[in-house]
Amino acid sequence: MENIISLNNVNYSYFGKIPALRNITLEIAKGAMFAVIGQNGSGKTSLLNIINGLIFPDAGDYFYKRIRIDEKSLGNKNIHNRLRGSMGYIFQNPDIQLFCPTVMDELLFAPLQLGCSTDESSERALQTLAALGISYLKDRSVTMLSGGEKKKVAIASVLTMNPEILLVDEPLAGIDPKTQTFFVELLLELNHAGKTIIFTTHHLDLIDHLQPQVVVLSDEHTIQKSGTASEILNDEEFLISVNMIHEHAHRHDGETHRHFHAHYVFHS
Amino acid sequence: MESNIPAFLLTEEPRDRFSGDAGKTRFSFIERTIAGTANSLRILYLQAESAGNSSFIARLNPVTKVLAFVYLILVISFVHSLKSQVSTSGFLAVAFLFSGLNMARVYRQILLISFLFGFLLAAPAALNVVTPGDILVSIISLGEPHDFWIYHVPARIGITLEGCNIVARIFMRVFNSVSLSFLLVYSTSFPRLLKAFRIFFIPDTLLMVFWLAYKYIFILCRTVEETYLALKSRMIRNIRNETLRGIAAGRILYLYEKSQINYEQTYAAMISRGYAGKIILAGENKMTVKDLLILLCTALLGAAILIL
Repeated sequence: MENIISLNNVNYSYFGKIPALRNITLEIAKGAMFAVIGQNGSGKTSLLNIINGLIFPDAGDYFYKRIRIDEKSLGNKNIHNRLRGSMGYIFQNPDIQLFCPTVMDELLFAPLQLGCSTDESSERALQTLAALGISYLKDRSVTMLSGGEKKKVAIASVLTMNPEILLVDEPLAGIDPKTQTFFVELLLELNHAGKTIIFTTHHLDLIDHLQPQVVVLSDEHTIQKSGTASEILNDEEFLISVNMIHEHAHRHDGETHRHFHAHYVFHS
Repeated sequence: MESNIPAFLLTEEPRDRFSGDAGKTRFSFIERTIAGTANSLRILYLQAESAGNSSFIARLNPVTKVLAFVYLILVISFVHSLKSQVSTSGFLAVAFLFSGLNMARVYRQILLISFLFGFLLAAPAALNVVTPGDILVSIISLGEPHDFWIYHVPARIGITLEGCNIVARIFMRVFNSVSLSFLLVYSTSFPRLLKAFRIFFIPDTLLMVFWLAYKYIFILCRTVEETYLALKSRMIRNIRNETLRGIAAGRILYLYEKSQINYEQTYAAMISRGYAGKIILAGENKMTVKDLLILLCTALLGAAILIL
């Protein structure tokens, strides 16, 4: 498979003072399932923002389908539209992502911009609402939604784009367990259909479920390790060193004791 | 695996969808507005960051700094001689050296503000129309003088030595006042600075209101920037200005609602933690011998500037 995303020695800092990413070099193949894991504040969201061309590296290069993506190249309408049109980004906080008056408007926004007809856009929106089980929200104002509903609408609003690459910041954040299961299955199916899925998480069980290629960001904002899901999950010593699993107290049968606990279950 | 996902998601979008797009992307007015807001956030953030560093000035008790600030502002206001103002600038430059700040960046900001409010506003005072005196550089000749009401316009209009002196003094006064303000603000974190104002018997409740306002501006700027990134990520083709205006209006409504929710939740959090109408803030650290010595040195320096 050809690499569609390529980062070479990328560095990014907030206001030139606080480092968010250091010397990040990675390549993502078309159709890959790719995860960025790390503790809070390790730079996962900044990495997704760079891949989506929302922020630009202080140093290093980012190539999307061999086109260098920077502020200047995104000024070109063709490059800009190709990048935006092929990438759907589901933010961690759905509040910031929803900006249309109603749920239906929200779902129609992307396909209409992509040049789909009104009928095709409506068809997509209705199918997506049905698939996520939120058809009843169709005419609801986005300000009148609960947290979980907002998250589902945010997911739906990106799916109607039918993006080639789906960027998901913390897929499990803010949704109930049933929707989490649905969303994990949806990601698997989309990946089977050939779409590239790039997500960030600090939930190791999600890595176990989706079996992606993994890069682990350290507290120093560098790539500490990369490999397959099983290579990462089986290296307990490494996971302890990057604080992905840690020792904490548990209560079993009335007895409290402390031990390392990963909070995920391997499939046998 | 049984699939219930929409069929269109299992297909690829046409490859030539964007092949006709050419030219430059147009996303200017929102881009500029948000970039400006983000810049405000950056300045606020940098202030908080730089104030947290371990430089000599940053480590001083904020009460010491506030007292020294008020005293020196009074000195700068009372001093008339240009020599004294230049000496004050020299002293402030040395103080900036001990603050650990990026002097080039800070002085660029100070010079810009001083130029706008100290030079441009005072520049007419350099002319003999405002300040009579010997003309150094002649600008225009009217042939004969004109008088109307209480005003006298001389035959030859130009820049006078006395006028230049006045403009230089006003410029230096603004320059020094702005420098001193920047030194205080950039070397003290906002919460500590607020607490230091208790020395002027400002009620804790009012200080808390200021603190919440500052904190809210920070949260608001972050929300605006994040909202902008989310919007940017879904802007594919150039969209019509009225659509953009509609989106911007919707976002303003969202921010308003968010503000209201934040306000209500903050108030609820205060109530749940024992707020019953009177706020009592923790005190600042006591002043040390070093702080007293700094105050003494500042007092002596101010006196020397006044005598010069």
